[in-house]
Amino acid sequence: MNHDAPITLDASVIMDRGNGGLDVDLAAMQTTSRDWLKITELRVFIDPGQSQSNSSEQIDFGFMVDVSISVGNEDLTTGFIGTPSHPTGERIAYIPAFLLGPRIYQRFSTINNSNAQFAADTHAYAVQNSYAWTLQRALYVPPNTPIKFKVRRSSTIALLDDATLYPNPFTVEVGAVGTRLAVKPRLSSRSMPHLHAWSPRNDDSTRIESGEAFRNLHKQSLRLTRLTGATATNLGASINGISIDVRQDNELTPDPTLIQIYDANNQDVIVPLPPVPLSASNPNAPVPISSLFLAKTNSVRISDSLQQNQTYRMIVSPVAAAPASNLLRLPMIALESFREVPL
Amino acid sequence: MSNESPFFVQQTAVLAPNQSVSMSLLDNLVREKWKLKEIRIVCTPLDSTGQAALPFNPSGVAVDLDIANIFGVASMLDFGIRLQSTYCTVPRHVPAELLRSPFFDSLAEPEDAANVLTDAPPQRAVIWTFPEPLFVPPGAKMYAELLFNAADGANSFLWMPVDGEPTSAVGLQVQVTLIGNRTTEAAPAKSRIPYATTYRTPKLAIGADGQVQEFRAQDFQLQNHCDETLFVQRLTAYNVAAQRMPTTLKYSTSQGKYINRELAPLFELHSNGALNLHTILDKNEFIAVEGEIDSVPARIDMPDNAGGADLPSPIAAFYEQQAMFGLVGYREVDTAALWGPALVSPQTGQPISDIRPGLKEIVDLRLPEVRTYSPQLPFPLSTNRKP
Repeated sequence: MNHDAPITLDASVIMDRGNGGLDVDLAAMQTTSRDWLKITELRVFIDPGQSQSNSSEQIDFGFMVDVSISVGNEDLTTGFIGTPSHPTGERIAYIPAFLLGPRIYQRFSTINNSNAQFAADTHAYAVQNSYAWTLQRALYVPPNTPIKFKVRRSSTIALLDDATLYPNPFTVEVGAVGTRLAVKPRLSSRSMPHLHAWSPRNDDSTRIESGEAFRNLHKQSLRLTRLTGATATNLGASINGISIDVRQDNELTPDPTLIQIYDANNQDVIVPLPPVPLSASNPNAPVPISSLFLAKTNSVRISDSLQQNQTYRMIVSPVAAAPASNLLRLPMIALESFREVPL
Repeated sequence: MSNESPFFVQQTAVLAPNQSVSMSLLDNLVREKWKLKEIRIVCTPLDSTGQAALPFNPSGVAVDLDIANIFGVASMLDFGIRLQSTYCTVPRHVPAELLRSPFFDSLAEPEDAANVLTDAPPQRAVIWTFPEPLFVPPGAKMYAELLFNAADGANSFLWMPVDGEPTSAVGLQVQVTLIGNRTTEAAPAKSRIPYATTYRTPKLAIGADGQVQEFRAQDFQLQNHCDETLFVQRLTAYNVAAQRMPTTLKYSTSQGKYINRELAPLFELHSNGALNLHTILDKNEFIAVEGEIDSVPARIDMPDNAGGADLPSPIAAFYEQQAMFGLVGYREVDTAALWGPALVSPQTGQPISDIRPGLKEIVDLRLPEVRTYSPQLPFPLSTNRKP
């Protein structure tokens, strides 16, 4: 090969409901060429294959699949997620697929309903979701360095998951998009992207500092580039007699969970001003997550840096659901960054 | 420490119909230099329970109005920005829906998604991205002007509950968020400040068969009212009843040259809300728009609700329609003239911009006013058509 060429590396797995939290190691994605790769985008595509319900709701499968991405020995994803066994947070290498970035593609299709609970030969909607992590700086991958995805059914989403409703099995495809380089790039350093996710449980009114702060453990400073946030919700209400739906819910049902973010200098990133008109029932409070992270776009570009051992912190203040509702919410925020690693 | 840490400011307003407020978004808040990148506006209609529907009310959950179709909610919020004494919107408010920056969140158009049929979104969000990051010196004043437009807007016919009578919002909750970051950069000589103006057609009842209403904007309505040259980024248009209502229109320049030759459907010209223009308007130049609105819904696009009671046609939610047009762009002004001279700290006598950045200090609100302003309003309005 004597010129650069576009390349996509893909692998897919069929996930069974039965393997719940098991890892599915897609080591097949290891590059075998002796060429350098310049990766610009990392993707996850989820195809439920069959109906999850007879509703036309937009179910967001990005909440149902956790992803772990690594290049060589470097984990590109870390997280701190609340789980039933660790209500205040558990350190993990997986993040929900939707936190990779905005849902760039969603397709509804009408399919024959094979879910046993519905009458035979009825039809229902299925939704395929595609999520893309578009890298701020291209990721240069040396020859014979594995790009490895792991996917699993979300363990946290079990909180919201109704075992009788979600498809079994479904397909998850992962991919890396970029260029195969003809010659070794002349680099003094290469950019290493990173995504860190926070999420506490939010099924009570406890004010939670989300696990622990995100700390830069590297010698190099981290360039912070994006905050992403969204909420998975079990609607609680029944639609057509069925309680369904885990979905990105910022817009459809605004999440009243209040958030505060503190930067490396321990300053408030978000400053709420007194409301207009001023009233006792309308206090000057942290802002609701849904008012900042909007549906679909769900992210805010930032430009900051984090030196070694500096931290970013997030605090969420869940707002209790009304007594009549059995809403469960799982707010999540991710911080995207990269650092320059000397070669 | 970082010199560019992010900084978001949010304020919430609850508006009654026809109520207007001026939000003081930046009013001697911090002694820092900022660069503002965008404004996010989230509109939530409130039902008769009023404040109980507030998302952050500890006793309640999100608004649940069981609304068949409210994707026009941002069209009944009129929104404006004022920098010091300079208005960025002429007239003072422009329908928030028209300020939306093109983005892939056009995916969120409810009429294209199945969710409109059973559980429409109670919120409508607009992101207005600035043409370039706007430098804001310490102590600068910035206001958001809000009006719940019940007189001219769409609220009186906005939605119909799935199983009920037509309902109007008794209140509108609006969250306005400034997205920006701190900066240590010096003030640029010129600042690009956003600009928007609007034209609305009269209302037209839906359903009167064969009734066609012609409309034509006055010359001063989609006009450059400023002394400076206006860079037009896009024309935006919205029919409050449905983007696919049979509205056809034709744009032309103030010299009479057409932009589109024949009447074209609104949803075709503005498939994602915006028609990117990237042109220049000198002082008093304008964009003319004329067209027709048909009172009969495009039934082929919007099949009626023959199948079931819980799948109402979006059209059924409306009795009237109205088209709105916006002209969105920016102009360049001298930064010094926009913000005035640097504020001086009464404690130290230093210019406030010299205070260490990143150190948040609240400036005394009783600070004597030392600025001089060059009021930009009222703008001279002209109906002179250029040859």
